[in-house]
Amino acid sequence: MLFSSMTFLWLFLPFVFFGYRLLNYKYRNAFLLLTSLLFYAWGEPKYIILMLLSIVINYCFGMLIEKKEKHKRLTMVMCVIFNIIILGYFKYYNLIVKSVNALLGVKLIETKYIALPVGISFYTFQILSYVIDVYRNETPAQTNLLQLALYISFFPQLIAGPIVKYHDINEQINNRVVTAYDTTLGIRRFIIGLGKKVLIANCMAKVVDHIFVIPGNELSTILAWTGAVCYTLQIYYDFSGYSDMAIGLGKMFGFKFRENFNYPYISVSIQDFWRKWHISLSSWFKEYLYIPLGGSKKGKTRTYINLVIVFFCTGLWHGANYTFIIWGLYHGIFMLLERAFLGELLLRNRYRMVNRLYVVVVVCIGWVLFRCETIGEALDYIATMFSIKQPGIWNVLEVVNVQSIAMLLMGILGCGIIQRFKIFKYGICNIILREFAQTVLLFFLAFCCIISLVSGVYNPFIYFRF
Amino acid sequence: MKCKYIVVYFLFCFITLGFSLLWFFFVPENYDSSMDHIEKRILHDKPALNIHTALEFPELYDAYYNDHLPFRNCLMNIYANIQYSLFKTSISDDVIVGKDGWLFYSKKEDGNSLLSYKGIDLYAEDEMSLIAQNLINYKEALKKYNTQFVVLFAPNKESIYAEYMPDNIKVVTNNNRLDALVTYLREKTDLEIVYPKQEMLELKKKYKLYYSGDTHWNKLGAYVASKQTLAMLGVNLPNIDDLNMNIEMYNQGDLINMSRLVGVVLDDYDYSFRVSTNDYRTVEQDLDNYIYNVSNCNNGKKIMMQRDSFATSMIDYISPLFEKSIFIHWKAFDFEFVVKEKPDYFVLEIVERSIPLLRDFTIKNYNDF
Repeated sequence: MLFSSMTFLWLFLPFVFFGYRLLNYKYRNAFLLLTSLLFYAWGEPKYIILMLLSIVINYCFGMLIEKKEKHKRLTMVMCVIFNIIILGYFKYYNLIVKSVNALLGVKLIETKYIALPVGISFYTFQILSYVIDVYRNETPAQTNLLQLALYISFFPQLIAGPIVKYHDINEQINNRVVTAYDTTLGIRRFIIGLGKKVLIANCMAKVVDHIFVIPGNELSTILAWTGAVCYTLQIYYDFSGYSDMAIGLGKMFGFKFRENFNYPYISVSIQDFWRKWHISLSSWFKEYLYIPLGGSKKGKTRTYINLVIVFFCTGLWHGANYTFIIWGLYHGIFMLLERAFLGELLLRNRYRMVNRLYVVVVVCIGWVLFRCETIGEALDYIATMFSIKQPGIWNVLEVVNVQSIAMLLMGILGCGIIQRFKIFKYGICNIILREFAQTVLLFFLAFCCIISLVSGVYNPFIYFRF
Repeated sequence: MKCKYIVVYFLFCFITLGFSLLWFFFVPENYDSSMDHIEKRILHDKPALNIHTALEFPELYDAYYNDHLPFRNCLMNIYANIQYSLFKTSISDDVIVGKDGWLFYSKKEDGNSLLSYKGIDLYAEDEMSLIAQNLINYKEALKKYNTQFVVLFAPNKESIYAEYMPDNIKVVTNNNRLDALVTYLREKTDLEIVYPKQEMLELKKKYKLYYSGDTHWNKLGAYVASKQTLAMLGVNLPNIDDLNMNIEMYNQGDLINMSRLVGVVLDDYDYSFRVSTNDYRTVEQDLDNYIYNVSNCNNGKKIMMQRDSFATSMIDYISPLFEKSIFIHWKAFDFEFVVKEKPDYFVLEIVERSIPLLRDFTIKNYNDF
């Protein structure tokens, strides 16, 4: 089930929202768990069993890790390997097979069709967060299977994040209060997220899908840049919109999730970018991979190696294709360069706009790697961006219509530019009037989203590879 | 609870429950909200939930719910109107909004006429040769029944009214693949080809030949095509300037329906006129697939047409001039009809965007006929 589907908006969400509030406090977690399982089963009726099995097995592992002091580390490692194998099979089997066959130069193993269970990357990482936190004694093992199941399967963040670390949420599972203030904040956040996804991201997606299928010899430089910029906006508004909806939904039920995006496109360096983009993933890798590897505490060379490993894994996490790995390593290289000397130059540069432009260009090119199906295709596309190829068969205005231009402008302004001006705070001094204006705008936004969704607007969620 | 919280709660209730509640309480139970005739498809029925359908149930239910949302048509129409008024685009990706309210069809899977307009989908020599051979084979098969074979190509609307296409769509070359094909067929074969494009380009200066909100030519456009086709068969129709025409308003069309702009795109018109003093009646019909007409024209001649929807408006000009006339849609056609009816004349009518069909245009086991 998608957040931006009518079944979710008009059937599931009101049922869960009002049902939760009508229920006695002691039944609320069970209710959320059942509805979360229904949410997942609705989209993945076959693989709900896999998730349930995974929950039960990791519950047992958690208890074992806590109890078996002597073999604690071994048990934790076995648990991690078990989860990686599950994720590896469903997500990376064909990539591994193709790589082995390519290395050996012979088709030793056949690839096969394996359906990727929705959200497996997200809930696997949440499970790993749990077992590692238990191993590290940061949190006691959860003795209540239902509560562990709720943590792993809670519907707001189940299929597209943010990745919620266990130690950030375990207290809230047992002890949280739903206030009117948080609920209204959650509703507002949800509507804004929905608007980002449905109005901006989906509109950009249409343009991107048109441009990225144009054969290389018909693609002009200006169209290539248009496609890259639109995809840069699409992926941001799609993912951050979904995160906003998840955070908003969490608030409606008394949960406080950490922010997942912090206007990454106005970052002043790639290091800064990764502190603001998909924060839950980068902080997960930092806490559970980078720091255990030694982080930056074992000398320069080891730090660089650790960064390469982390960014290799970051790229791999995003998808089972070499393009994602190259994308991850591409960012890793810039991280290394900034660590080595570039960061210092950027820090000393008085003209922050130049820094921001550098980040936008680097990230934009990276997204081309991310979007293309093959490395060759990506390199051809990037080559077109940096050559002077005249407009060919397709006119830019054929692909980017008035609506797309409007959404493109709104998208660019909404990346952090308009927020700096704080229009509502400084434009309307009267608090009541300000609140009223915000609510009217929210209502208008919600209505636009509904008519857009009802009209069957193109609405895949690009992160559902994960 | 503070007022501002109440307002936000109300907003939430409205966007999640409001439409469903309004529909439940204020719309009569027997209200027919089906729009099958506009969407040209059957809406999904409510699926049954049982052990056999459990795995498919969510997908089927989503499809059913999306087809039966409260106020679905109203909300879609609002969206369509906003798209059209504000952004000059259609709610349907298959419709191009042109100038002055003109709409054009551009479905990728249905001929992709946009590429033809841009002049970038030209046929290679071997493709034209294949089409030519297929048509010649058909002509040979019909010859066995002493049937005269004529091919009528109906131009795409944008081939005649290119000036109403939006300026942002770039014409790459002025080459048109149908123009090239017709030239090829006329030069390399003895097929009788009717291609009214040139005459239409002249006549449009004086008359409107296509509907602005529909893919098809209007009655006058159909008359031009009919006149040229019948001339090939030795039948003459009056010149257009000699017709006694009335103008009637016409504010409907398949593209208007697809774009949900009924009542929004206006100012279209058609002509009404009578050509023949003969009358005809339909003796057998299977929707639009098969139409068998007889007239009081006693020339003993029978015409058969393998056609698409463009020929529908030609029937009024053709049927009165033959004792029997049979119109069979491409999707329902079988050569058995020719074997059974042995028509004197056979017209193959096809619209420009469907020309690719001719690449596979063969009679199955035609040697048997």
